[in-house]
Amino acid sequence: MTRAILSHTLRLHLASRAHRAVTLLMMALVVIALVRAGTALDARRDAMALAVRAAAAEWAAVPPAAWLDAGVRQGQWLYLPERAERVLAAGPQLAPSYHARVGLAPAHRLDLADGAISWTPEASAFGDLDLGFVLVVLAPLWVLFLVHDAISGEKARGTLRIVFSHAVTRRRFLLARALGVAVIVIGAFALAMLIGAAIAALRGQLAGLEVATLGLALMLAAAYLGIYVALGVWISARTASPRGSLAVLSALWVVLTFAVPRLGTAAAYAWSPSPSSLEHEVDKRRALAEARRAYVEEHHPVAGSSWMAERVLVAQQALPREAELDAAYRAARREGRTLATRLSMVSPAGIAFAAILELAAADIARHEQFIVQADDHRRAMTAHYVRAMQSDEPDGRAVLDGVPAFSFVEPSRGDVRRRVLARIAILFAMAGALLVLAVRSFHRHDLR
Amino acid sequence: MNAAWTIARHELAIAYHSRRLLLLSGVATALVAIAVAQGAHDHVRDRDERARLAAIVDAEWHGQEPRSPHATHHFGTWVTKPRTALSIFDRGVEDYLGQHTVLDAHVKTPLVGSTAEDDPLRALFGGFDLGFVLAVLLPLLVVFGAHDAVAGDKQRGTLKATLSQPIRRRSYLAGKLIGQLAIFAIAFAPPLLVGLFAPVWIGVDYQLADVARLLAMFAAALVYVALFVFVALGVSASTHRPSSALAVLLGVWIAVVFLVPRAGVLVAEAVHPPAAPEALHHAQAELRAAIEERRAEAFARVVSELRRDHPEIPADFAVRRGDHGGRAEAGWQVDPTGVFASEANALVNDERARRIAEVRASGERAQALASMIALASPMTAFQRGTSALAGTDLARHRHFEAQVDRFFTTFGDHFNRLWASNVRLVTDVSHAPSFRYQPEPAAAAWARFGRAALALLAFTCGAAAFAMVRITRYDAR
Repeated sequence: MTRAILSHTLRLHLASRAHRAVTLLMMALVVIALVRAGTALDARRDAMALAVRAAAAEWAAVPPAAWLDAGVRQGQWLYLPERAERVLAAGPQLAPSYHARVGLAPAHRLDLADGAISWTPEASAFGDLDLGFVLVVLAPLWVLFLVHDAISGEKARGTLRIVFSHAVTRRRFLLARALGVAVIVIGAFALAMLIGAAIAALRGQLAGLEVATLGLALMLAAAYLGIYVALGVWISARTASPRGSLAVLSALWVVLTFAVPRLGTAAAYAWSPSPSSLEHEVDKRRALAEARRAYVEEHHPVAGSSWMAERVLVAQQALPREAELDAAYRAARREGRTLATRLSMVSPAGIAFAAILELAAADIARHEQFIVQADDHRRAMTAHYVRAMQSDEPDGRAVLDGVPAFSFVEPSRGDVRRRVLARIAILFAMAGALLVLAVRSFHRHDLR
Repeated sequence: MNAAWTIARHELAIAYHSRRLLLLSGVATALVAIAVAQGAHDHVRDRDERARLAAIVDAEWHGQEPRSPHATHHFGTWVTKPRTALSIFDRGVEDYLGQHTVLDAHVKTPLVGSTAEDDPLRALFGGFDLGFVLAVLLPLLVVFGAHDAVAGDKQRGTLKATLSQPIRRRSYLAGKLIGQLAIFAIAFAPPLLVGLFAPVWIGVDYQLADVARLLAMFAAALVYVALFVFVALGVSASTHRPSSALAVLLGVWIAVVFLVPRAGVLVAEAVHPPAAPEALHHAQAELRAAIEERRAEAFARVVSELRRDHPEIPADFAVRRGDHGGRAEAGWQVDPTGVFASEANALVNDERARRIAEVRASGERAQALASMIALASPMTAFQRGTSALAGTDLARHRHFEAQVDRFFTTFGDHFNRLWASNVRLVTDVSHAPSFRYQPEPAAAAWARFGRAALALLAFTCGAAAFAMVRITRYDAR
């Protein structure tokens, strides 16, 4: 009997023209999102490779006598490597820049040139059509459309009483219904993901993407969509008409997908106000001004003396205080972010967003690691210059060649996978709990 | 017309007795309260923070010890984009744009400190401002409220009874429209009126012009609601069951709110691929090589002039450009690097500006196309209009950027002039130019709003025609 209900559910959905159209649209969106992300990733990698080569040539072309000038004014470009995983989600695009210009002058801390020249502000406001968005925001509505009348539709048509005149328990009926929709949505989503990934791979855009990552993304999709299948059958079992279930489910979707993450973030930043980057910059400038005052008092430099050398020495004196300020600033921001993440995780959308961003190496923590490492690199560069200045006859070429190389140390992918797995487990548990609620609620329901 | 009023009153009465009006009022009050509270909280925090930091930066600027014009120029000045009072209600694209910059002598650091940089999670999920409530959630409430306006009447069998009376279908449509608009006006007007003027109590300074802008935003919201009511009535009159109408309308809402604006970005990227930011770095590296060549020429020229008065200067000094310590010990009064500085700075900044303009132009083409496609969504038209009035759109940001560019040149010219007139120490910086933001002419913002409002009206007329055609042809049996 269960098998009969299951196959009936599958046939019902496949026979419906509206269901087929919406499912094909969703699959097309998944494929478009992946192929488009692959193209963008490719273009970005090319531009970055070009820029890295140009920066290396530029550094090599610095005349040895201009070593100090190069260190202070020119600085170095550091790049956050683009990983193939980014096809899964773009992440908060403008927030983290993908590069830093690290020089000895503090104004060169971060060059967010793209923030000023990029065409994306309005595009960012619209949001990206990446897999993360399609999965976390759009797909649930598709699932709810397919599942909303799973029980209430039968009730409204009067076929439910006929079904229960046969030897079938309510639990079996509900689970078979849920399973039928789950098979369709998870199967269609997974198929679309595989088609999109295959197209991107054939175009050579997915070099370096691990199969395990793709597998985890599929598991995440299954767990997340499973929650909405369970929620759908639960609400469908509790409402009298398909219209009622669709209205309640759409309202729930709005609350879970938009309201909770947005309000959670807003509440977290109101609850735990952390300093803005503007305030942090001013603090750092003050630290530098204090260091400069101390330097002037100690060395009494005359006008026209080597200000570039002074600048390096002042920057070095300011470094410990800057490091303190940086650490305090990051800790405060992390505190706000952790609270915001926790509050947004009240909703499955918050959990799924966090998981897919980590999986896509597009999370904020990874970017913060980049900033920390870039700052460490700046300190090492300053120390290197100060050492060179302290020697009697610095060899410019040796100083330039001896500048420490920057290589971003990626967060452990093993840890990332473990965290993502834990989130997937939470989502599966949520789906299970909702299904239990649905079964219990259906048991008590008056079918007359 | 009497029939239309009767139907409208009936709609209102049903909403009242079914407690739908009460529920909607509760939802509207909660949404507006949360959005305005958050906007006001952010506004007050930003305003206080900026005032405090401006005082610190100002004190440091005026308190710096006497130093050379070049070093004073390097101390730099702070430029911050002022927030408008109405940004409380509509953040527009403001969260994705830099808010401040330090103008250091040679380096025009781009604007940084966007909310997206400060609160990446908020940038990811989006804010909860009144703009979001009105542009995204309000149409959804209309969809929920009006989807069964016609199909529901048909399902209940009241449509046949209504149309058996001497009532024109046009009057029926007008009655439904007025009824739905009244429901939303009753639910939203009180919290909006309280919310729009509530920030006055926390000390936000409204001008008369701001009140006019608020009223215009309010009127635009009403047109926007009317548009969705027409669409809902049209779709409701195209289906026989309320559930089908609801499903179709949810699809329309998704397309209008998410798919069309995002599709514009996708198409624009494909047609006019914008240059990656890294392309600028590559250009900058090429630029440095060109500058190095010209700098060497200028340097050789200065050194040969210097050697006429100072024969002790070694002939190979030209290749020892980085040797500033040696120069100081020799006691030369002229800094050859400094002589070239203004020329090199002008070259760097002009060339950089040209390169940035090239990269930006590639983006502008994409932006223009994306904007045009996005306008196929009435939500975008509505948002453009309200953010133009709130002063949170891209055009106002460009207006600010242009002022920063002009000030950067004025600021640099001042110190270059001092250097050229052999001023060695700057003891008083009060004569240096300071940045004063000139607000955008109100006419420009109103013109942008007007264009967006026209687009919105065109959409509404189209939706009205659609609803009229569907209701006229609707099989009421």
